Amino acid sequence: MRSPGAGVGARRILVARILLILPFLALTIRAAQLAVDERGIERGARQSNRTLALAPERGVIYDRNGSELVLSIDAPSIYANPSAIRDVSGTARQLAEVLGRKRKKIADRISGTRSFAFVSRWVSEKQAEHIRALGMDGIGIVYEPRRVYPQGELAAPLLGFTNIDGVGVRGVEQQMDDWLRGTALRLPAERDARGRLLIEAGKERWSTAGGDVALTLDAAFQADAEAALRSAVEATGARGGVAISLDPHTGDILAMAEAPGFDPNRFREFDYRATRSHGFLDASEPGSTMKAFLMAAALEHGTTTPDHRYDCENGEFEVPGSTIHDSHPHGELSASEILQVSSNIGATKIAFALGRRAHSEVLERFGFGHTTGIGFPGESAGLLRPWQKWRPLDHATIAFGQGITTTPIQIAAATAALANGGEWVQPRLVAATRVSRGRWQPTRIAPRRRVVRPDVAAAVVAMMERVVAPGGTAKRAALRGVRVAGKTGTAQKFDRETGTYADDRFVAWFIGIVPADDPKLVIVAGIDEPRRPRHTGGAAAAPLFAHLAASQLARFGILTEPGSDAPVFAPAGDVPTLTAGTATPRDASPAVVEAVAPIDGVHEIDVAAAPRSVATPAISAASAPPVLEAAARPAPRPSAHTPRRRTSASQVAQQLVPIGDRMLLPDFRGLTQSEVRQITANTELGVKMSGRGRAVTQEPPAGTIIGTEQALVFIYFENTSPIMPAGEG
Amino acid sequence: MRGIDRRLLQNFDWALLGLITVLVIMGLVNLNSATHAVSGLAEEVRRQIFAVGLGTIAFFVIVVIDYRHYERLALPVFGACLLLLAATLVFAPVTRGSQAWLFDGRLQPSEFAKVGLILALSRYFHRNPPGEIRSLAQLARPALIIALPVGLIVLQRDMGVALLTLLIGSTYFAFVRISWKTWAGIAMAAVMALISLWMFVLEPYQQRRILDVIDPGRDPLASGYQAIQSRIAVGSGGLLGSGYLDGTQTQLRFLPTQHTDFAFSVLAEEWGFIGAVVTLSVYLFLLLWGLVIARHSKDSFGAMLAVGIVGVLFWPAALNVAMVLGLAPVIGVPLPLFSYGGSALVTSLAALGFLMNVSMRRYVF
Repeated sequence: MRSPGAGVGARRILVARILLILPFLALTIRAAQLAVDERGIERGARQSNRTLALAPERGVIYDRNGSELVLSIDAPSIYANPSAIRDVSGTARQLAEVLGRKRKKIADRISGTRSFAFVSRWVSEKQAEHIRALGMDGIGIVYEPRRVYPQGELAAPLLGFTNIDGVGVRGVEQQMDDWLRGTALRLPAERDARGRLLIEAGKERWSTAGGDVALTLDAAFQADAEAALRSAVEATGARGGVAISLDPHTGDILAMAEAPGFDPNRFREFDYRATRSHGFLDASEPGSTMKAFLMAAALEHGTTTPDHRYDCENGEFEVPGSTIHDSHPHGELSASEILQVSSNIGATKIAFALGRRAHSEVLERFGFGHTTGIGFPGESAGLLRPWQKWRPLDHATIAFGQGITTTPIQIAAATAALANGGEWVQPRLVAATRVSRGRWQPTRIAPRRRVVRPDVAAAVVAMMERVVAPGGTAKRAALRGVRVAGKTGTAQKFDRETGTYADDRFVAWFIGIVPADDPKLVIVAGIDEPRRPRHTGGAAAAPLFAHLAASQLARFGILTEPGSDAPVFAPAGDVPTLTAGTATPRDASPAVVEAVAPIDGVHEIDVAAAPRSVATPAISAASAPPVLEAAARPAPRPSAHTPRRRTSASQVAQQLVPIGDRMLLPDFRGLTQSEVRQITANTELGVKMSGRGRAVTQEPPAGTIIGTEQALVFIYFENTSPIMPAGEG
Repeated sequence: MRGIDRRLLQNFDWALLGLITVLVIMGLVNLNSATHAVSGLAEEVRRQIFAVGLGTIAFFVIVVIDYRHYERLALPVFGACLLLLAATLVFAPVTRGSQAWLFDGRLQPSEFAKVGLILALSRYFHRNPPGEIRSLAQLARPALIIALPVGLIVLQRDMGVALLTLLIGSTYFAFVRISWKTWAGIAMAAVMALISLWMFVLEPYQQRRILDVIDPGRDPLASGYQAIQSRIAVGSGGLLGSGYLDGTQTQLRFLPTQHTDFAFSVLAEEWGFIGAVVTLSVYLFLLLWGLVIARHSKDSFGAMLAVGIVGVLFWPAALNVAMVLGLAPVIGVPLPLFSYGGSALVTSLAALGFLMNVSMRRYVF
């Protein structure tokens, strides 16, 4: 039936079968070899499984009262998938229209065969919305974190900024970079051959957000200081300046104004060098302010007394190598008077009597020649040469602040040591930190260091009071009714080109302590290259100090204004009882009317830790900072908790001066409707009033910085509650 | 011309059809995975299903007509194939370095040329039974028949297919009764040919691919990439595989041309060694069954045709799997019935149609 092997023999077929089976056998063996080979499995897994480090959301930087100074938002960025764009020129035209950029540039970006290219990063939400609506092929929107500085230039050199990769490269952003950045979340992710990431959906993406930071800065102080500095710089035709306000007991930097500033929102438009903090990074010669510290050293070592008299050689004193001059010739002066009139010759004699070694050691204890150690990025240590190298002329010039360089923050810390009874306290910029949504942890306070005995510090402060008094170099630093201790400094700038001191370029300094009898604030004012005739510390820097001291003391309930010998302005009777827990009677200073902090929770401040700083809106070292607790709450602080005080209408009106396009809201409480109407009539501030009687609450609260455009404040008036406690006023 | 009568239906080769069906379905299922990560039911899968439809029609059309009629058609079909190949050289654009496609990439004449070649060779060996060929000189004509399409395909610079066509044609020589001396001569000639091919014809990239087989680590990111990725994929499949649609190498597109030339590595990764062995076994059974059909063919033309079809399926299958497993150079040889590609699938099914034809008519006189 069959026709066996018609043309193909059985043997041939057998051979063919073997020829067929053998290769398949070989292939099977090979497949087995590969399958068993574990390296294959491992390699396969390693290739596709990557750990993806997700940068978490960066922490927020607050001021001491919980105002946001720096925060992160998700800013839309426009990207393109060029390989998916069919109509490049049309797409480019539409994009150019929305983004307001050159069509050709965009066309270049979105053409080609790549699969990803940024078209424009950090565009506005409106533009993103527009582009989304256009629904173009191959054009997408991705949200990238971006740092924003809602207060604009406020404290910009201190805050610093992050670069485009989100790394802090200046200021606190750099100092606290690790903390703010948080821990990157490591996610196992699979990556395909084109590098695209596939993350398992539903995983918590931002679970290790960066921690928050609260600064010791008070945004209101800061805004006030910046405005005052700007106008002082303008008035003196100076290049710039710096103003530091420090709590001498805690070292808290309440304000550090620097001019010129910059807008960190546009940091890319500024030269990196121009964004540095002058207060921390710029060391320059402090001039005669050094005489205060010389005096402390000499008193400490007992080589002088305030009344010890010196022959000031009628303005010319020869030391080996040169001749020392006084700006005004003097005959015989006491040590106090030497400080008061700032005699270089007198200072030289005191220094020589003290000796190089003792002088140098005390200056070092005051912190000169060393950084403050708070870790501010790039902080300068200044220059204090070893005393062994001081020739007599060097020693003489160091006595009055030449041949030594200091940073403004060093001077402020040293002045604070005089103000607080002779202890050097490390300045604080970071008050507290907290993990995301966690509790605030105050920053550790570094141990204090005794510089001079308390009586020495008190004596120097008393001597410094004479500087401000009639006959002193800084009469314009005086405040009505508040005792001021201070010292001027007028440092000639060293001209690198000629190798000599320039006689037309100065830095005008003033260091001040207020109130001298119960120091609350140390203020350092420096004006860089003020024009003659207002080029001296007394003419250029002292008025800035007076302005700052007056406005900032108001926050401590000390009402004053620049000017000397006038009667105390503040109504003494307008004092409600002290806030709970701090009812320690203090020296009855006529000027101190009330320890009003513009914040609630003052009563929690640890008296033992900062016995004399109850009035400061401070974040106490020992107790959890209630202020910062408030920062976590979305709602504004309830004003009703704040003790009411009565401020005169004119005082409020003074505060109503806009700072650039911003304005610091004054405290309207206690005023009547007609008073409010009167003082706001000529301002850009809109006011909505309701109720009758006197103002009891306002929204936003006092101290808020608002833009002058659309600035609106709601004020509520009440008749029922007494303004002043019964029995007083 | 004979219609389909009852005997024919009685002798219908269900085993063959079953094997073919299994392979086609496995191919489609695998293709779905290979293209899955890109989109749901990929365009490729739909086109492949359409090609299966076309191929099935071709299969049955070829089955219906008694294969003996094809003997007369053999030379015209062969001629037509050569014409198409020539036309490709004139009209086809150069894509990916070769010039093999007609009609906007829808038609690859070199695929059909295999069938034309087999028809022509079957006709030749039907008239000159291989068992009677005893001298090398007698092989001159079949060698010419093989050389014509191979030469044209070489001109298209599609070396993989050229080699494949050469090997398919050479299948017949396994059934030629010639002395070992003659074989030695052929081997010598082959070696000479290979050397001259290496030196004068192969492009540098093709040389690199061959070197990569010997040492794929030579250049892991460039020419050796595919070979390495494929081995990694097969290796990561292990014994039982990573599961359907779950092969990381596959789904993350680490595998190059995974739906065409490297379809088998997708299968090996997702179904593991077991899946690979099962698939290879089905192929082997199909091919052995083809030899059985040749053995039992009622005439030598049918036998020769069956042998040729076995060659048409065997060579690409063996080369492809060897390539996937890193035993052969990366030449663009698809896995018959498995890889994505309409022309190849239709050609394979048509070729199997001839096999079925011969099988069904083994008792018919």
